Parts: sequence; C-alpha cells; structure tokens
Amino acid sequence: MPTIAHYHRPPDLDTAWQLLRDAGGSARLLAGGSDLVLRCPPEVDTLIDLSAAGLAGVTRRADGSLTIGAMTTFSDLLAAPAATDHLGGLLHDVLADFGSVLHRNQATVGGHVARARMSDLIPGLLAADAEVVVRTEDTRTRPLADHLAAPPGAHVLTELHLPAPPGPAAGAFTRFSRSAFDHALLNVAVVVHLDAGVVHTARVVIGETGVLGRRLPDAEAALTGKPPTPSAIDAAARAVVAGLDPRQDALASADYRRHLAGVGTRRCLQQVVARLGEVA
Amino acid sequence: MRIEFELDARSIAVEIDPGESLMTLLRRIGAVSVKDGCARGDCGSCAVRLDGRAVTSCLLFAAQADGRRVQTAAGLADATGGLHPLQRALVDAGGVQCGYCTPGVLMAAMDLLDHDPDPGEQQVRTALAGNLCRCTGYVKIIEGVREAAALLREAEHG
Ligand SMILES: Cc1cc2nc3c(=O)[nH]c(=O)nc-3n(C[C@H](O)[C@H](O)[C@H](O)COP(=O)(O)OP(=O)(O)OC[C@H]3O[C@@H](n4cnc5c(N)ncnc54)[C@H](O)[C@@H]3O)c2cc1C
Repeated sequence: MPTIAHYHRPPDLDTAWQLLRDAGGSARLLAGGSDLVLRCPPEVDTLIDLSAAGLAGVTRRADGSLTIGAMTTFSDLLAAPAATDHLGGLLHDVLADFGSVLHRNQATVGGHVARARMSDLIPGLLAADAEVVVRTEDTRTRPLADHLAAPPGAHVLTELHLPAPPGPAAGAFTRFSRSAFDHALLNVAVVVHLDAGVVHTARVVIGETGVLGRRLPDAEAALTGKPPTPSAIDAAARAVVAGLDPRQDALASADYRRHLAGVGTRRCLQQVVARLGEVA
Repeated sequence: MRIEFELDARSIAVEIDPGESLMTLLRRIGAVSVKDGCARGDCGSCAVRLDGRAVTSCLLFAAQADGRRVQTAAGLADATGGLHPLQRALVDAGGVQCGYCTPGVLMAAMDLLDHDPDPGEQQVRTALAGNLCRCTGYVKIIEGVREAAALLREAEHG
C-alpha cells in the first residue's frame, strides 16, 4: 500500500498545477486511480485528486473538431455520440471492448495517456491526429506524437483535441489478444481522408508493448493518391508486414505479430472503406 | 485524514490512511459484502457503486469516496431483510452458487438496470464482463438479471 501523507482535491486547474509544481517529485496527480493504486512509486507522499478541477467533458465544435477533457471517463466517452461518431466510429471501435464496464466507469482518458504504457487508445488518437493541451508554467498545445516522444516533466494534461477532417474521412481500430481481458499482442488504427474519391491522407498506426503507436509511412504511401481499392489495401497491408519490426516474447513471435499487423491493417482498411461509403 | 461519505444510505465519518484502497476501508468498517478477490481490478468481486456507477473498489483510493455516495450489495435488501427483486431473481435462476462473486455481480447489474430497464442478453454480458464467476458458467446469472429486469418493469408499470 502506498504511504501517502498528503491528499489534496484542488477546486481548479491553476491550484492543481501549483500544488504539483511546489511538491516537486513527491506528488502525483490522481485521475481515476486505477493505475496509481497499483503502481504508486515509493517516493510519492502526496496525491492531487483532479476530480473537482473541472476537466471532464466532451465537446464537438462547430468546425467538427472534438475536445475531450482529461478527466472524462471511458464510459462517458463511449456514451457521447460526438466522440463515437467522430471519423465514422474509430473511438467506438477502441472503447467498446476496452477493459470492462467496471474499468470504463473509473479510468480516465487523461490518466490513460499520461500513464503511457501498452495502450489501445493511443494508436487511435495518433491516427486521428490528436493534439494534447498541457498545463505547466504556461499552457501549450502540441501533437500527441511529440508529447509522447518528449515527456514534458511535471505537467497537467488538460484536454485532447481531435481536429476536424478536411473532407470525407473515416477510421477504424482493431486489436488482437489472447482473451478479451489480456493486453493486446498488437493493435492497429487507421484513418483515411478522401478528396474526390482519391486518398488524400492516410495514417496507419501499429501499437504493441513497448511501442505505443508507430506510423508506417510505406503503408500510408501505398494508399495515398489512389482510390482505396482492394489492391491498394492489399499493397498497404503488405507494406505493414514488410516495414514492421515487432517484438518477440513469451506470448508471440515477431513473425506472428507481423502477420497480425497485416491482417489488422487489411480489416481496418476494409472497415474504413465501408464507412466512407456511408459518409460519401 | 478524515473523510465523510454515504454508505448504503448511512452517513459515515471515518479516519483513513490516504494510501489505503476503498475496498480495504470498506471491509475494515464492516462492509464485508465487498469481497477481496484479486485486488487488481480483474475479478470484480469488490465492485461497489460510486455515485451510481459500478467500479472496482480495490482500484480506488478510499479518499476518492470523500463526499460521495457508496452503495454495496448489503444495501439492496429492505429493512426487514426481504431480498431485492434482483437478488431474488438471481437466486431463483440458480445464478448464486458459492456466492463469492455475487455482491459484485449485483452492483454491476444494478448499474446496468438503472441505465437500461430492458437489456438484451448481449447488454447483460457486456455489463458483467468484469465480474468473474467460477461456479455458474454465467448463463444462469444472465437469465437472472434479465428476469429481474422484467420484474422491476412490472413493479414500475403495475
Ligand atoms: C482492469 C483493467 C483493465 C484494463 N484494460 C485495458 C484495456 O483493455 N486496454 C488498454 O489500453 N488499457 C487497459 N487498462 C489500462 C487502463 O486503461 C489505465 O490504467 C487507465 O486508463 C488509467 O487511467 P486512470 O484515470 O485510472 O489513471 P490514474 O491511475 O489516476 O493515473 C495514471 C497516471 O497518470 C498520471 N495522471 C493522471 N491524470 C493526469 C493528467 N491529467 N495529467 C498528467 N498526468 C496525469 C497519474 O499521476 C499517474 O501517474 C486496464 C487497466 C485495468 C486496471
């Protein structure tokens, strides 16, 4: 059991940030708590509970972009049509089988991203080109990919921002695991934007333990500038298999993971094409 | 630190260790319908409702309950010990065997029925996906929850 001496529940973001800054390394932010209860580092003696700081909620802006507050639980996200409709259902794919209801009722989007371990959400967010808004001494917005590459030290993640796609667009996500409750061996998220029936932008992201989410440029190039035909999908899936250097562990060989990545990419792209048919 | 919360319609004020889990606290103050199964969020036997939503109390800090409403399976029966329709339906369906998972199942099912008075089999399965049962094989639990939904709808509409 963690030895905690101080517990704060600040009424707003400014106070939360000040408490975090002033405590130095001895404090942790507390969101849902599902990760922190199990993994509170021994040097931590202060918890800063964000539940009263006003960071929950999902908003769709007039331009079609989506803002997700850091303290939004997965259940509330799954119940928000603005989120589950975005990009044709990408977040619905991610969340429908995420943990269990008991977990989704507690765990938050911000705690999940900040925890930055094997994730079914981060690949989807990367495919959706998400930005994070982070409070430190100032407030800054930056791409999630940059945020994950360079953790900003003490910070409060306040919200995620998913930009509106420039035209018809859809995404899809799939995961492979031994059982629904196990960590994914590997997961795949894809987003495609069309312009006049031709793929304008494609993002293909593969996540696995150790690599939260990696884009596959060759697979994206195989799709770009052409209609998303079965042969283009096939080329993209083959580019994923060729371009991926997955891990090998007790659960699966690298070859098996490479195979899964190809299958997942093909399935996601087929789903994306079906969804694009609905929006076009 | 001292926290106050509502536990099954009673007001509780208690001194806690801010590092302890809600499950540990609840069992310490006698709410032992909350079971200590895996203590890592996998089995669901410690599930309680926090402001109405079913959650695993082993993965919450006790301090997170401060000022909030906690419900456990022990609060379902009426003052004379008469079973709640969900409890009755689960027993009648054969959905209770060793009983260890039952309190958590009840909390997850109550959360479901509050949001969806007429859940299909798939909805019940999804709602109970975080509650492990090693006795029943789940089918009887699912039938019991759906029967309870029917009883509660009848009670509502007469
Ligand atoms: C039973 C179970 C099932 C799971 N299933 C899945 C699954 O299917 N797929 C999957 O990908 N993951 C899964 N996970 C992982 C899970 O989603 C994360 O544990 C959870 O999202 C963490 O969120 P939280 O709000 O509980 O975070 P907390 O435990 O509160 O915080 C986690 C970390 O983030 C920090 N933090 C919290 N909020 C912020 C913030 N706003 N800014 C900066 N730092 C912050 C905290 O200090 C802490 O270090 C599962 C976990 C459990 C326990």
